[in-house]
Amino acid sequence: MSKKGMRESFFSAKQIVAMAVGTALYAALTIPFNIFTIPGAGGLIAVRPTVAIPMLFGFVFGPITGFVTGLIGNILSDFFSFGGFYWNWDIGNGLLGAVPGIAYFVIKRTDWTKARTLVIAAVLAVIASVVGIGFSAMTDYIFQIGLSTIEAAMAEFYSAAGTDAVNGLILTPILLYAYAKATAGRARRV
Amino acid sequence: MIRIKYFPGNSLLHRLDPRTKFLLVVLFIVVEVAFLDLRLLIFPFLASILLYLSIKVPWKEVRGTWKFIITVMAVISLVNAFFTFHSFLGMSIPNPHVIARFWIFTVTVEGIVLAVGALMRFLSLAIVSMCLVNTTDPGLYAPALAKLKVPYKGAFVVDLAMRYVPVYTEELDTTMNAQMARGYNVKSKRGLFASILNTVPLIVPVAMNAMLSIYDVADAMELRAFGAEKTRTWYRTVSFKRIDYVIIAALFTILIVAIYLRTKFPTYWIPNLAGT
Repeated sequence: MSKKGMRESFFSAKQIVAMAVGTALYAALTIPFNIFTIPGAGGLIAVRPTVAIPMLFGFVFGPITGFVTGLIGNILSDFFSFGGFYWNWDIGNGLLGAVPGIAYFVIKRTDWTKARTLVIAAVLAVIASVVGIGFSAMTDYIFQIGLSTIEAAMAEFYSAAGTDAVNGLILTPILLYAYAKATAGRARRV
Repeated sequence: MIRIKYFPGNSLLHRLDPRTKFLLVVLFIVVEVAFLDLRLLIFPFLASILLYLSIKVPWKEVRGTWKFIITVMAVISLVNAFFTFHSFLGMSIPNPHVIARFWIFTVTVEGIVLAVGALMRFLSLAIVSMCLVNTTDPGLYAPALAKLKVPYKGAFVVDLAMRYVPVYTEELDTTMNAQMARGYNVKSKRGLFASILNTVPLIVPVAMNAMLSIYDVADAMELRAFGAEKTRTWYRTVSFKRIDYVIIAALFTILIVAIYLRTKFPTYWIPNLAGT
């Protein structure tokens, strides 16, 4: 069987359940943390340690699952707490999960507990924060969603990407290590 | 404790097709985004409260949830108000009427008016969201989404996620109580890094428990041939009744009225304080 053939579908039963579990986890755990906010350019930005959830799901299950976890998870958590729908922030949160999905193609499951992999997870979390929040802040500016100047967009980007990067940098490797240890030796946990 | 779940009942909202309720939520989002004037925001706010009262959810069950949501929204709106004394969402506020200054905050009449508007907007959207969740059987989300032509795998993701959200909120609460019994201090510690690390005893157990269940659920689904066919049918189904058509017609009428009102009152309303 070719290497391509061995890679499972991004829409297999496992991936569908992973998307649902990731989405529900991100939404349920984020709601209590929405109270921790810092002033941004156009309003307040929630400090969410839970951004590590889509990052972890992207890393473990691939970019599509990571993207869906961030996207729908953010829609649901906003729906239940802030109320409303902010499409560009939902996509930005999706990118938080999609970017670490690169690791899904290059890092073997047996290497997840290695120090090098944990460093890569931390680095990918920071890159994901820059890409995801960069997208949200720039679209806020381009489409004038509450922001009218590039300075305001940059202020929003620095505050939101900074907190997400720090949260992801610390928590993603911890969660990845815990998951790798919890599933070590179990069959069909790849 | 936060409870985001379905409460069986026989109110009008309980009897509506989930698609009608989706439309109701969308209408509220559109209206809340369109209305900037505080005097207009009162209408959807009162309407959302009346809707919530009509579904007769046991208050004892949801008291904790509302205490939390109102606290979150009040904090967000107030802090926002203290920072928006010179501009709000890109609109500059010339000569704000300052009431008090402390530390990095400035309290102005304009800030308070805008904060009250934001609070009403947030609250009415949260109330309507809860109306949908509290009155819709989780088993009906997937059939409703399938009727809206959402691919069945996508419908399944949303369906499963809506079922799991209440499970994980309860699990988070249980984990917090268990950790506190072991001496865990929920209040954040000093410093950003310490505060983030302080969340580890909560996030890791809940996330690991959830992730370990993924394979069991997926196995159960595969044993029932999930994904074998390109389409699938649903055991439960939804269909529009006469009342749904009446409500949908009413929602479109409200939308037209809202668009008209938006053109008449296109911007934020600040009380005229000339001479004060």
